[in-house]
Amino acid sequence: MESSCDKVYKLSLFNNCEVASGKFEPYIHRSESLLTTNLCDNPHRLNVVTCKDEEIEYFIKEVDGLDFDIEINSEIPKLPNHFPTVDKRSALKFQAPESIEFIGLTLIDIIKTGFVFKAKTLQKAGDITLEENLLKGSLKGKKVILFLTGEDMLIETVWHKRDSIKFFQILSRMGFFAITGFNFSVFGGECAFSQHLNLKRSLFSSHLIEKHGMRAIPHVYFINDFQIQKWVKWFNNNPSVTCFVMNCQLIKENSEMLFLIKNLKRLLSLLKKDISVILQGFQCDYIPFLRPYIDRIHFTDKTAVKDANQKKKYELDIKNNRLIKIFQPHLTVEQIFKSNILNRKMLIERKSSFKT
Amino acid sequence: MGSKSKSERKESDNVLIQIPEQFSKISRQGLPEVASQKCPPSIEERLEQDPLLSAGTFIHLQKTGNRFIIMLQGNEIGMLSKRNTERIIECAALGVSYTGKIILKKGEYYGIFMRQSL
Repeated sequence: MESSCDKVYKLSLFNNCEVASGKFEPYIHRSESLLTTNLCDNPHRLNVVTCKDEEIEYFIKEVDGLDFDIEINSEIPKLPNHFPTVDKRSALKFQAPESIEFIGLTLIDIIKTGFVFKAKTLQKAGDITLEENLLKGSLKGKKVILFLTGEDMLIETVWHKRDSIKFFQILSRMGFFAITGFNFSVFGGECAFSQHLNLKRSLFSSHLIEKHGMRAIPHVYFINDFQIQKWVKWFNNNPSVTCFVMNCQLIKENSEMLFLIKNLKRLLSLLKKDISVILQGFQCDYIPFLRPYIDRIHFTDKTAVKDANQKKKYELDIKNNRLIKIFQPHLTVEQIFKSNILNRKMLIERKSSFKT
Repeated sequence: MGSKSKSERKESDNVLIQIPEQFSKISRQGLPEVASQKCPPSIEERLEQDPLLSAGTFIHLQKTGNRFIIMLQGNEIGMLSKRNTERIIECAALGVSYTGKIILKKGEYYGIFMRQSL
C-alpha cells in the first residue's frame, strides 16, 4: 500500500538531493529529500558531507554503514534536575559547592593545545593534546560528565584526529563518570544524507566511548518526524539506555525554541517513561513549556560560571522567579562561582516545579 | 555546532571536513583536504582608524598591482598584508573566497574576512 510519504514524494517535480533516488534506502527514505532545500553540491565539503560527495563511501565506512544498528548498553543512574557545567579554569582552580554531586565539562575544556581563537574564529594550530589531569584537582570526588559538544571546527577536527591523538584511550584514563556522543550538526534544509550521516556519526561516537570502557550517553538531534521515528526504533532496540543528551545552545529565537520543545515532547511521548534527557544550554525561561515532561528532563549549562568570570553575582528574585545579576568587583571569582551555581540551581528547580 | 529547523549556521564556525584519517593513506588528496590546509577559516587586517567606520559594515577587496586594497563603498580603508594577499590568490584558485566586514576590537577597527565555498 502506498504510504503518505510516498504520496508526498510523488508531488515533487524536481529534487537535487540524491536521497530522492532511493539509493540510501532503507536507511534514508527517499521522502526525506523533500525537506532538502539547499543545494547538495558541496565541493569543499564545507561543514557537512553531502549525498554528492565523491568520497562518500569513506564516510559511510567510517561509521560502519548508515544503519542505526549500534548497540549501547551504558546505564546512567538518576541524575539531578540541574547540574552545572564549568569551564577549564574553574575545574582547575575552584572548589564546587559540596552539595553538587554532578558537574559537566565540554570538549573545549579538556583541550590543552591544538586550537587558537584568531580573527573571530577557532582555528587549528599545532598538535592536539588533552588536559589529562583535569579531574585530579578541585573536581576530585565529583561525578563529571564530559559533553563532546562545541563548535563544528572543534568537534570535526578532534573527531578526524581521534585515532592519532589516542583521544578515547586518554579519555578512558581521565576518570569521567560518563561521556556524551559528539554533537554533529543537524540543520533543516540541508542534504538529507548529511543529516542522517551526522546522526549516525554521533551514535557511532557513543559506541566508541563504550568500546573504550566508559559510560556513554548518546547525543540525539531530531528536527523532523523521520528522525524521531529512527530514534524511537533505536531506543526500543536498546532498552538499557535510559538517558540521552541534546545540546540546545544554538537555539535562541522563540520560534526555534517552540519547534525544539514540540519535537522533544513528541519524542518523549513515544519513548518509555524511564527515559530522560539532559538538555545542555536550554533557555530556562522556557522550562514551563516542557510540562508534563519536566520530571524526565535534566538541565545543565555554563551560564553561572560565565557570569562569575565577569564578576556578575546572582541574587534570586523569588517574587518574579528570576535571577538578578549584580556586578561585584570586590568579591573573588571563586566566591561568585559558588554562589551563582547554587542560585542557578535553585532557579531551575523553582521553574521546574512552579505551578502555572 | 548544534541543530535548528532552518539552515542558519554561524558564519564564524566553518570547517572543511577531511577524509577520515583511517582512509587518508589510500585516498587521494581532494579539494577539501588541500583547501583546509591552505585557506584558514578567517583572516584579519587592521584598518585605517577612520571615525566614519562602523562595526558590522560589509567591505570588499580590490586588486591593485600586487596587493589587495580593502574598500568600503569606493573608499580605501586598508590593505591586505603580503601573506594574506598570497593566501587570497591561492584560495581563489581552489574555489574558496572570503567575504569581509568591519569589527571593533579593543577600540580599534579591523577587517575580518570569512571563508566561503564557491
